[in-house]
Amino acid sequence: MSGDPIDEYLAALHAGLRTTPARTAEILAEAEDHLRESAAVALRAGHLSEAAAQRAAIEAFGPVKAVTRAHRPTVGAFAATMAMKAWPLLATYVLLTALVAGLQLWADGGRSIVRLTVSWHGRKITEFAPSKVDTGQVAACFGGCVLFGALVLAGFLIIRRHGYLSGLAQVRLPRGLFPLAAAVVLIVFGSFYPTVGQLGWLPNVSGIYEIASGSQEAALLLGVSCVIWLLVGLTSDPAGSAGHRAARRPSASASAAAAGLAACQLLGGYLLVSALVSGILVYVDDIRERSGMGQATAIVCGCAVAGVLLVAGPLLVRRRRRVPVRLPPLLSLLASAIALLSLGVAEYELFVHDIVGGLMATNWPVANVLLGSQLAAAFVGVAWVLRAVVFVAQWAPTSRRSPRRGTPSENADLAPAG
Amino acid sequence: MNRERLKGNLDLLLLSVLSAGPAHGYAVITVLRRRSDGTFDLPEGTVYPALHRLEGAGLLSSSWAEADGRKRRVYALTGKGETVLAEQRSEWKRFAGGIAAVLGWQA
Repeated sequence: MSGDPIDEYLAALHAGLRTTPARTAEILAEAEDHLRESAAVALRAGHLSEAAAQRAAIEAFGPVKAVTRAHRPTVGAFAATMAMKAWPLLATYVLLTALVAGLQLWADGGRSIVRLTVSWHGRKITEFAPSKVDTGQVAACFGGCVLFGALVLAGFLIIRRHGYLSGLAQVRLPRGLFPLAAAVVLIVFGSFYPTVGQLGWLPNVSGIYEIASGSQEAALLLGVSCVIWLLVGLTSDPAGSAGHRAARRPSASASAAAAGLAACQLLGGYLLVSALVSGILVYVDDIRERSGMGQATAIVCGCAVAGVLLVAGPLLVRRRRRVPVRLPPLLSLLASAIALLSLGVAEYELFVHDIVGGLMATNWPVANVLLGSQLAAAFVGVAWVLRAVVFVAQWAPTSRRSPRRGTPSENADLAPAG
Repeated sequence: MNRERLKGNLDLLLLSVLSAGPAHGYAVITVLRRRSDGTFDLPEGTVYPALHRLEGAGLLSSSWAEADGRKRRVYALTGKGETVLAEQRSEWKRFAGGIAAVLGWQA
């Protein structure tokens, strides 16, 4: 604690606000100006010590709860914020659909590439696809898909550039809410096989089946990416976690605790992604294989439970004990390097000893669990690399966002007395 | 005074205070309290969201300046704000006149 009542009040206000970091910074700057001005006026009027003047200013400003409630976003602001987040994701999804469907069509269904993630739609497509391919129809299908994606993206860029929703979309959503919602929607849609395989009402147009199945595979790919986004978000610093300037540099023991908790969450995240990918491979691709399903189910459920515990536990500890979550960038880089090296060694061992190949012959479901965990390792590895890149980028000197400049002449009649 | 009743009319009061010229939040609140002789005494921190809302509606504009080494946001009435203020003043005058007539307070 700094001992400065205004700083402490601003720190509490900062913790209670649910606005975007930029908006929060503006609110805090305005509140600080108000409180210091109010305290200075009270001090000049006499009778009060500096601390008492500050306390009087805070009392007049209002309880933190009342002020944060007054700044609480409206439903419209919440919806606008969600829309501004979903918009680019929708554009990415449409363009990814075109890419995945294009790969399918280009390289014998492109299934060898797409199979790296999910493959069960591919072999069904041929049952429904038109026997005679019309190049013009295919081009129209893919052109339409790409054009639609480009239009959605362009619309988003125009809205953002001109700031049409910027006045509304200033809500700080609860951490992980959007990635979680997006992951659930995308994975549920991507896993819902009948939308492609059993839809008899798709027109007999070349390319439409690839687009339809590609949309599901793209949804799964994007869904898994959203899960990683969620996990990376939960295990990294929350926006503005450094707090107001009253926040102090954490001690060595606190940093060590933060490092331990972060490691737990990373491992938990890996287990959750493993359970997700393994589950997709085991229950959707190989549902025909019954032997070994019990073992596979136990492993997948165990992974999921352990993952949830490892992710949620540190979150609770941080909340209750207020453990600082900001790790020094060098420590984060070191942790990423060690984790990636370990994953590489594990992958090499699995490959050299042909563990997956051996399991394929004896226990197909469990082999798929292992395969899923390998894919999850690749996903998480990429996420860690990206995270390391972000840390490196953050080292570069950043210019503090300054509010708009301008020095209008204030009306002398309105200047505070004193 | 009933706070909810005051909140319902806060926009008009803020626009009216700012019709005298640009001012920062503390000055607006101080003038509001002084002119009302302490009747309008909301928690000061809850006035800022109203100012932000009026800015979002295009009735106010704001700019940042430096004062005593601190950043200070200064609000000013826009043309649209002046029009709305004139309309609301006129409406309020009619409303207050009607209430006064019913209560028998007319001079």
